[in-house]
Amino acid sequence: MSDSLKRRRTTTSTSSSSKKDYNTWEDYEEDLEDIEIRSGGVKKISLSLEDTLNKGNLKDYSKICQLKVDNKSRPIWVCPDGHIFLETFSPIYKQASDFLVAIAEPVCRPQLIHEFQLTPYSLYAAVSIGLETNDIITVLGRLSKLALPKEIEQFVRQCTQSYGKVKLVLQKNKYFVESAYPEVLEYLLKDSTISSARVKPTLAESVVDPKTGFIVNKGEVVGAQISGGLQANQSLDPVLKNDALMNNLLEEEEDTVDNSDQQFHSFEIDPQHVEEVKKRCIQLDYPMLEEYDFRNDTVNPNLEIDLKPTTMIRPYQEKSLSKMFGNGRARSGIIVLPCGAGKSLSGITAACTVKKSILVLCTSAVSVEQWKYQFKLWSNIEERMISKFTSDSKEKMYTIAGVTITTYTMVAFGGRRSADSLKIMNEIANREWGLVLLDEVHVVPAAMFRKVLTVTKAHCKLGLTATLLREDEKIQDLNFLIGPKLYEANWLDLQKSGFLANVSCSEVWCPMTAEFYQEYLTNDSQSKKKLLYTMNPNKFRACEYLIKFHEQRGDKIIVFSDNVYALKKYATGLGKYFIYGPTSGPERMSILSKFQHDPTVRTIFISKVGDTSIDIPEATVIIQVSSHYGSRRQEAQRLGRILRPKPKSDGLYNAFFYSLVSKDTQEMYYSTKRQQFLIDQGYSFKVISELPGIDDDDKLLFSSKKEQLDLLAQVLGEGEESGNIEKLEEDFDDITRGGSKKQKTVVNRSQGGSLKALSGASGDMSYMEYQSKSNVQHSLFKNRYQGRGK
Amino acid sequence: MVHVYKGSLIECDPPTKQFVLWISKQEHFDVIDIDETHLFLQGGDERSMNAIQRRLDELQNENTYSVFDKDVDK
Repeated sequence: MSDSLKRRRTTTSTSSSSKKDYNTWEDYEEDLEDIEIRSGGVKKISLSLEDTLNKGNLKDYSKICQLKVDNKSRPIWVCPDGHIFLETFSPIYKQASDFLVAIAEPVCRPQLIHEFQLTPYSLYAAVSIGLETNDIITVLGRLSKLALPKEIEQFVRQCTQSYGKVKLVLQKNKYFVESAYPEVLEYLLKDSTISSARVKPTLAESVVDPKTGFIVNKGEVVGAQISGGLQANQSLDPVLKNDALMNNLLEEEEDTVDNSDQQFHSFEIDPQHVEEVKKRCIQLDYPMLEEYDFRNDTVNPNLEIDLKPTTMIRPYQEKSLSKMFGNGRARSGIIVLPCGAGKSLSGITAACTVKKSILVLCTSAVSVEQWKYQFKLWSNIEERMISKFTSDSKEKMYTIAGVTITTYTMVAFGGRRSADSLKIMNEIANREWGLVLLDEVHVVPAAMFRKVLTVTKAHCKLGLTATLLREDEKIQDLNFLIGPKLYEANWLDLQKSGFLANVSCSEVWCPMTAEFYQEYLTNDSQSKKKLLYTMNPNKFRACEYLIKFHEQRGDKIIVFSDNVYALKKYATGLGKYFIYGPTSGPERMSILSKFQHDPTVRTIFISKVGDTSIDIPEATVIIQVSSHYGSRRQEAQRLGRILRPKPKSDGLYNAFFYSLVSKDTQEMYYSTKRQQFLIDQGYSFKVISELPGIDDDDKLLFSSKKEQLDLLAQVLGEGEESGNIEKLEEDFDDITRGGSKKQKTVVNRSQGGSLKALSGASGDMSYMEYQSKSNVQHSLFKNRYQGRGK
Repeated sequence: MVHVYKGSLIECDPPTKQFVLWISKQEHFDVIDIDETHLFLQGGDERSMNAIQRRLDELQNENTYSVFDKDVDK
């Protein structure tokens, strides 16, 4: 078994490493034949395959899976377990890829073959943007090289028949349960909870079906006008229509997607019981989609906001928003775009389309400022209509309709508030928001999210993120808290079209010095070990070497270190500026502006605080010295700091990402794990095992044995906590710290404070838990350590 | 006076040498430290060399992440 795995790995590596561009399937096939003839290895492989077959480990599919006659022109393979493989060199790759992104989750997207997986959630998302069960099955069948496996057909039917059939519509502040299928509504009304929540129709003008008593609407499909004069596409992308072959394949689908002649049946429900009805519907296997008919909402005041005429929306931003406003209504969901690809602009464009009161929730006070700046930059909104709500600035909200920007912690805060903030909080809770923009949705713990979402009454929620990924696999919760994933961009495609910088990723292997490694082996303390491999003198020298090299080239460099001790040591040793948790706001701004404008300041050192939301478009090089274990998200976020498109320079690459790793230590393990997300996006990491000329350069620090031994003595003299990575408090707002202090006083005074706060059930307690994760071992790795011990 | 020892000469990079020294202490091997990259394992035979090799492989495996680990982690 392991043999065959190895072989599989080697074959993939040869195919992906070959530089040749395969434009057509034929090129590829010729090449394959070449390889086969040269190596003569085909026979061997098939022989060993037979061996394994006899052992009964593998199943022979060759008789069940018959290739279609014209399989060459069809681009995908569908496996019975829900995995789909797409050939990117197929002439209809673009169309097939658009279709697959709509119905399946991208797993891995390197250069030649993309892997997708069908999941119940992805199918749920597909239904919510207007695809129907039969369309999905027929199109999949047409694109597939093989007859569609029965399991897949069954799976799709099972997942889609109930999903998305029922919608909850908020119209003129009345809640309606709407469906194109009256029989489904009848089924739902058999349930006592739902039927008791029903409100009998009283309006004379609405057309009522005499038999069932449902309100009947002719489906009015007006393509939503996305602000900026771009016509939104209906449900499926117009690209599909361009290609003749695809047109042929998808003809039927377009017919059914076009739902202009469809009738919608609906009944009204009591606003008081909406929550119960929603819950009940999920239990009954008919989860309700929530849509907002913002065009016909005359109750909530309009917001005067439009994109500036100079603002250009990129094609993928338009595409992602067309999924959101597909049928003239706004639906809730999540848009996944790489860092630096313009998430904020997508959010602002959505805001300009809805034109109602907008609430923006972000993770830190710094990004509150940046969102405000972005709003002023891209749209024509008046400054007085934007209000910030953070612990430092509690601005009064604009009375009619406006934009309010705040942080998750401010809204979820469960303790006592000052009079000012209580007043604003009440306003936030009482207002009916047209759109809530949730920035960096992946970082927020579910408990806090639920709190935020119950406090704010919103017609529509849009989540924005670059990495829909959490090490604790809680990401699926977002499907129910916000909505399905509406769109996910392909990093490599964006890079090719020049919307992202072309980054060269490398992992630099730094051997441990003998003395450091001896300590590493004999020391029992995990945090000491961590400090030892971070402070490895060879790593230090590699870092200095790379800084020198890139400063000479004229690049701007950011060095990341999670470990504060290492950060200070490196920065002071090399005479550079550094920013970490305790660095004050004004000082940060001054260092950042020096970095941006002063040609002599080419390098800055930043701790974890720089991972997200700090926008430094000048930076072209990232050197990572120490990091948060195997966090794939952190790696992607850090890479994101240099992804903003750069003017093309001489070479092939215009941005560089280095990760320094101490050889023969645990860091090697984490380093590879961290890269997995980026590898799945199609990036490849070069390993640099030796930097040319580094040993001859005596000017580097720690070249002599004596210096190295001194450093070792210093490192060993440090306390336990130096090995830990930084605890971040200003990640979120200061209010949490103030909050915990206040709680103490509440405990002392016997009457004050809610029972909730005393029992630790208040909102910020869940946050504290989240916070402590950064310095306690992650549960995933705990297992690993235990496993190792054995 | 010339001493003759039977054993195996080990050549490796400095960190690996530290590792071999470390396990030799645990397994009670008799090692002579020659220089930065050389060790002499006194009385070293195939069995002890294999033991060292196995421990080295274990170290390498521990520090290597494989996509197939994913399932184990869960």
